[in-house]
Amino acid sequence: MPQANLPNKLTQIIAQVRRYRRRATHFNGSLVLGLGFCVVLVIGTLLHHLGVVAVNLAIFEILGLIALVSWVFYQYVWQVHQETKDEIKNARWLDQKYDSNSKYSSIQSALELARDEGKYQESLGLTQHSVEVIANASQSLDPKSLVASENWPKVKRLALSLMSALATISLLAVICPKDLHASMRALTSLSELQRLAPTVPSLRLDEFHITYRPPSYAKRKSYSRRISSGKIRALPGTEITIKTTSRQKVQSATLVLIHGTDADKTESRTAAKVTENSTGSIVSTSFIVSRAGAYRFEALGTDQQAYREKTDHRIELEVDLPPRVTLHKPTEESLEVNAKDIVDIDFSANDDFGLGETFVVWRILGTAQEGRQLLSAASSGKKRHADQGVFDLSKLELKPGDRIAYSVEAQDNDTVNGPKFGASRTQELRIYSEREHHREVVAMQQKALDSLIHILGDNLETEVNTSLQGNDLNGLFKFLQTMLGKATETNTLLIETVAAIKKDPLGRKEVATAFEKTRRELNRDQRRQDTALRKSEREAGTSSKRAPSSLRLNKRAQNTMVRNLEKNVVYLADLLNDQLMLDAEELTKSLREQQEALRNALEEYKNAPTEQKKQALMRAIQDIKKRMSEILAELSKVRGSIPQDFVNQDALKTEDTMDNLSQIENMIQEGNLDDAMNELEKMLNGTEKMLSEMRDGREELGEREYSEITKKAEKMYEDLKDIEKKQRELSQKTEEKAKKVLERMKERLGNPDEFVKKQIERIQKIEKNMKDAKPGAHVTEGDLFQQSERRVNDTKRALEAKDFGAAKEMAEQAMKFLGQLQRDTQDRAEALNRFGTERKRANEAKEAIEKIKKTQPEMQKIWDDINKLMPNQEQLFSKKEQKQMKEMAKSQQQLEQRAQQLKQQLSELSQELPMVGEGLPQMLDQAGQAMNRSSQQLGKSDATGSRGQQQQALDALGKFRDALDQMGQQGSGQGGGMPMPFGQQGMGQPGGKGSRGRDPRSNEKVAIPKPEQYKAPAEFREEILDAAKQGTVEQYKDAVREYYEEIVK
Amino acid sequence: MNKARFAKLVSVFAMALITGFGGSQNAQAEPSLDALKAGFESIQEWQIDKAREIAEELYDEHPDDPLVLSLLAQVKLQTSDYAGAVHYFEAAKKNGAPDVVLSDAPLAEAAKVATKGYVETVSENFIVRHEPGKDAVLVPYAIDTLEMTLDSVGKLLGWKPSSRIIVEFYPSAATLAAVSTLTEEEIANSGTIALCKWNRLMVTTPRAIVFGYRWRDTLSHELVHLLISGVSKNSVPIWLHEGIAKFTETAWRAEPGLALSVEAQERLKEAAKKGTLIPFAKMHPSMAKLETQEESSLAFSEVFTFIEFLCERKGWKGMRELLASLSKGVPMEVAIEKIHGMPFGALTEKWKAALPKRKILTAGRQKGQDRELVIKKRSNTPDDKFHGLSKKARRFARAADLLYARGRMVAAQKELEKAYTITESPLLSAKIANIALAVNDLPGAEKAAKRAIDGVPDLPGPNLTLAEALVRQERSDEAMEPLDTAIDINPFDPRVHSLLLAVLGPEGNRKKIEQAQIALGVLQQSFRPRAPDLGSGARVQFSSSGFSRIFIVQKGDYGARDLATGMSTPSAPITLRPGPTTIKLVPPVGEPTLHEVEIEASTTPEDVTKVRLGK
Repeated sequence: MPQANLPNKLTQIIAQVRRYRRRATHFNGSLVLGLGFCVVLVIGTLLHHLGVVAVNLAIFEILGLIALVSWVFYQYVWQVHQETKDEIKNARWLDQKYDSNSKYSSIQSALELARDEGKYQESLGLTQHSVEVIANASQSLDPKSLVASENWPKVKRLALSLMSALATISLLAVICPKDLHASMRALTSLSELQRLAPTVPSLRLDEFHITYRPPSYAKRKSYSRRISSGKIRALPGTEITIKTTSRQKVQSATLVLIHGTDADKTESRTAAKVTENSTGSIVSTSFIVSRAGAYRFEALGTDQQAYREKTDHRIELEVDLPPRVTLHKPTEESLEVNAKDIVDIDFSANDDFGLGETFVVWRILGTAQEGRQLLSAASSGKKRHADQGVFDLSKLELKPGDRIAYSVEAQDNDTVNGPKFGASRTQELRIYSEREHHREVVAMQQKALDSLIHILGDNLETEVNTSLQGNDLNGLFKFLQTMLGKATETNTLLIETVAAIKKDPLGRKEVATAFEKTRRELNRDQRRQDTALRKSEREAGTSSKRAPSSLRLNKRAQNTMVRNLEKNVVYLADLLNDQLMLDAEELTKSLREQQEALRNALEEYKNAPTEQKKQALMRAIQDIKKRMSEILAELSKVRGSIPQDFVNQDALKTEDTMDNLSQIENMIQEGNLDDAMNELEKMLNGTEKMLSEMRDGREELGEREYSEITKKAEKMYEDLKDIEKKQRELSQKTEEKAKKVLERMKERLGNPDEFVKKQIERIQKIEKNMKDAKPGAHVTEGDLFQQSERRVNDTKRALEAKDFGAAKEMAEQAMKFLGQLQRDTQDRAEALNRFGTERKRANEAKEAIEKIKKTQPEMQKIWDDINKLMPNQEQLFSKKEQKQMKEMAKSQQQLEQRAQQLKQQLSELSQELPMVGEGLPQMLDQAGQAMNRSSQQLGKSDATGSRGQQQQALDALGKFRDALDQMGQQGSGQGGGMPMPFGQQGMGQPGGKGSRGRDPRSNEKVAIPKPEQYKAPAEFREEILDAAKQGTVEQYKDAVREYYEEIVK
Repeated sequence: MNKARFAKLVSVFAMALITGFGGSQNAQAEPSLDALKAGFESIQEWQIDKAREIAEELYDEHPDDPLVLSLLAQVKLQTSDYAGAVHYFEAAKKNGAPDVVLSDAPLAEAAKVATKGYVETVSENFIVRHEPGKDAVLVPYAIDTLEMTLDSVGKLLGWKPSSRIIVEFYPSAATLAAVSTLTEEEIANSGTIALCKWNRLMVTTPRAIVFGYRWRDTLSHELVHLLISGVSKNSVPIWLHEGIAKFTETAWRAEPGLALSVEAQERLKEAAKKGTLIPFAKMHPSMAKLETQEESSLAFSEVFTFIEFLCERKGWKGMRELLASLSKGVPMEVAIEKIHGMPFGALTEKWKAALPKRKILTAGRQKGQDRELVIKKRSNTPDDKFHGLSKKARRFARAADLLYARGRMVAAQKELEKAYTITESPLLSAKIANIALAVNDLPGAEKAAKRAIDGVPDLPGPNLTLAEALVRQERSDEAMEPLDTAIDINPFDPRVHSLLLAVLGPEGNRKKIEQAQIALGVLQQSFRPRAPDLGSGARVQFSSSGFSRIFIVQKGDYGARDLATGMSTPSAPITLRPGPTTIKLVPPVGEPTLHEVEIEASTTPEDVTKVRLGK
């Protein structure tokens, strides 16, 4: 609208407004276009993700873009042009941007005034003036900033939206890049649209009647669905039958199965069956669902026209989830087991369709070894299954220290796509390693030793001063309390250590004994100090002006403790050193074994070098290398603690071993077998040397520190052997005398059958009473009741064998046991009565007491009769023989004294080493006591009585020697020299393996002979009769007479 | 070879001359029996260089002659090529040599076995052989000592051998017994730990003796024996031999005549007064045959002072004249009477009469007790730190060690004091010094170490503790003497060399620094020492002019090193790796030579390739 009379200024402003408004709107349009593009892309991506096929997607996107562009053009180009081309509208827009009071509010009126120019008879001058005024007033207007400020909120909103859209695209690029890519490709498919668009007429099909026949593993029945979309959702392996009706008449039809997307897309075609009915052509087909995808039908109409369905029908796979498995047992996440153990496993598993077999799946950590073992096949076909199975570790060839990760794995019964697996949580098994445990036990010993040494240090550094008073005294008390506290802790530690050593298969019993003995001494010294401390504290409480006199007791207790600790810590340290050297020796032996294995393998290959053997050799080398590296690692751990005082540390250097092994490997690879063998020999020599150095170290320790004690022990051992030998000789002499007694008794004795019969009857009475007493007197295996029973039985057997000496001894013992049994049963009955809850048992016990009471007089009668039967043995010996017996009694006495001396020697040894176990002095006491009794009996010419005592003495000596041998074997059994003097070579071990070097006869208990071991009674009687016929030897005449008189009574 | 056997040998030659025995049917191929006799005589007279020349010449002309082969074997034994000796003894026997010339074959075999795999270090005048490993520490110090002895005593005696002398360090006294005619019992009783026989010095490593021993003096002592045998053509009686050797054994580090400790002098004086001296005749055939170490010590003191007595009368010139006369076959009594102007009996009586009045000399002499040498049963085991302590004292001392190891210094000290009240042993003083050092009581450590040294001067431990205490008190100059003493007794403690390096500083004596560095390197090496690997696959027998020791030069990433074969030319068959090989020949005299040879692989063990090196 030309405004010829409009001032230029206004014209320019209006033009600027138009220009800026258009530009701003265009800018907004471009933002909207971008935003719309992004939205289309995002929607396209989502659609693709939802399965919209490429063509549809392309159509959607392209149409969407067209719509967008059209709308943007209309909205942001066309419309703005329309709006801004009218100057009045622009002026109005300007006026609207400012309030009505503004001086610019009349730009529209100025334009209108200028446009109308007196059309309505207004004054032209005024009009011009007015226009001029407005024009002048609008001089300071800045249309650009006006437009910008007006447009800025819109730009902000659009830019924000655009950025959000871009962010969404970025997110999609991460989440579903393929979908985004497909969406973008669809945008560029504009040129291909033509090709993509169906060129054939659409095949129109009615509702689909789909029958599903699921695979057998799913254990589902067949079912049918009617669905217009034709969508299929089925398990893989499901047989699908589709039946539908075509609205067009078709002569043939094809099922097109589509798998994959875009480039990967494949189509397979199968002919469908077409039948005609009144409604149209019925198309039916069937196929097995194996993958997700789509399908459509294509058909050839009766009009020869090809038809095709416009949209594909989706085929979705029903998800078959893997089984879920729970491991219930073992409950421990990490469990220690033995290499050949069978581990019980409890588990449960479930699956949505059905389970297959269940396995335990394992892997040896740090190796490539893994595998599985069948746990249960019983779960097959079940949806839920809980079971127990075993994990047999013996099949895994595990080594100590191995760690095995394992889990229970169940498979489902999917036979179509193959079973899917579900696994429980993974747990760990650790293979028990004797060595590892042993190391821990040795560490415990070390710790216990450290504690003992620190207690010694404490006592040495703070000596009890008997003249202390006041604060100094309090300081001393505090020190003693602390020290005693430490001793208590150490005592606990020692108890644990002793228990651990005893359990340790690689530990040694004597070490446990030494620690135990040390503990007892410490405990005793601690108690002594504790008592003294209390006394001193009490004394100090009553008088603070002078030092408590009982501090002397503290001082004495401290000195004793120090003395004992000095002795014990040195010995224990040596035991530990010895143990460490022994451990290192064992490891070195393992190392040697590996090297020897390698040498053998190499020799075998050298003798017949084939490529196959070479490969086998190289594999063997790898195994050996691995094992050797493990051993060397262990050895390096032990090496640090091996005492430097006894072993040449250079001998333990193994750093070059692995390098040398690698060299050997290279030599073999290069075929340089001689050099490899030489190198291996050198390596073996080095190991042998190392072994020998460690043995030397042990021997050095033994010789350096314990040679003197060893000599003492050797002497003691020799003394023992001599005493034993002399005792045995004496026993033989006594035995001869006892035989003579028996012979002579036989001579004096007529037919003893009646006598025996009478006594057996008594025994039978006793046995009956015992049987009746059993419910109330027999408590547990091996109790007093059974012991009494045995003694009664022994008496019976001795009587049957007519060994009246033994019968008398057994009867005596039986009486003793029966008396004890009676008392014991009495106590029990009272106890049961007291509690009142065991009325029945109390009554049984009471009844038993009555029965037992009856047995004792009977046994007493037996003993009396035998006693009467047996003449005074002095009467059976001649004067000369009696003199001999006196001599034997004297010898026996001397042997008893020597046994006492032995005990003294043992006690001295014990003072030097905490190695003499409990019970040893008692054995010597027993021997001594038996010798004493034997001596007395020999003095009375009681050969038969003495014989039993001597046997007891021999038994006790034998046991004592066994114990010493055992100590010795423990000490030296592993080839060393420290510090069990009894085990030195040549000491009491003359035999081969298993021999203790002791006359096996001496191990026999006081044997009660069985009747059949003796001559038949008839024969025996005949002998007696024969003797009687021959008349009695003159010197025994009186004795025989007395004897017969006794029998007649 | 002893004199009786040598006499037998001479009779063999006489018979051979009569019967025409030459070991060969071919009269032209028979060697000269005179030459053979001269060869054996030279060995008998310790003139090995001459024997070698004769043997080489005869072997070139009569390589199959049994007597030549036995002479060659003898020369090989005398030059420490035991494998060669065994080989040629066997060859001689095979070719019909009489038993009398083969009598040393078992010795050669024993030495071959005992020294198998030994490494060798060659210096200008010596070849030091030892077991691979720690004994390498001894080598630089040993060569130093030997060269100084050769120089000083060689001048005194007026003779030096022209060829290199072989020195062997043995890892134990048992090895010494195995390679010598001594028994282990004799060694233990007499404290003999070194010998000079068969033209070589045979020394037991100080590692094999509890707390070590004055091994450098011993080394020097044995070298003097070799010099005496050489200069006198092995005609010196044993007492004179030992007297000169004992008297001059300190010449390498100070001057002759310092070897007799104050205590030994006192004991000698006492014995002279009591008339319990050991007659010279009883010292024959060897001091090592004396029954106890006390007897042995007294015998040494006697012969030492007798030499002192002779030297005082006629000086070293007189001694040289005496040795020269003896080498010419003049009887000893005659030679002495001629030089000293009075009969030998009168001279010895005069000496005996002077002994009770002899002034006890202290300057430069060792004070304190002579330590009895205790030979370890197992040389590689560490020393017993409490050797000689009573059982009770030992227990306290060991408890002290346990406490010390756990940082309970005060308690440890108390235990040691308890032990000291039972046995006032320098070993305990040494321990107390150690504790003082550990708690940084440096003056206390110094005092206790000195107390220990005063008790027994040749204990390495207290010397080391003293040196450390001095170094830590910044009195490094004073530390040198105890450190030298420690090295002279037992250089196997790395601390000695570390301290020595600290004392010397970077600007110190270059030679000493190098020695300490070598020793430290050897002692701190982390790998196990092994015998040199010569490889296998080829059997080679080397020959060359002169009896040169054979080394294989092994080239590696860190330069070349010489692997000892333990043999000399003409060698026994050596097993080597086939291929190009550099052979180093070290002649008895002069510079080594290198020879590049291609070693061919052997098809069977009997397939031996003969290689001639050089002209």
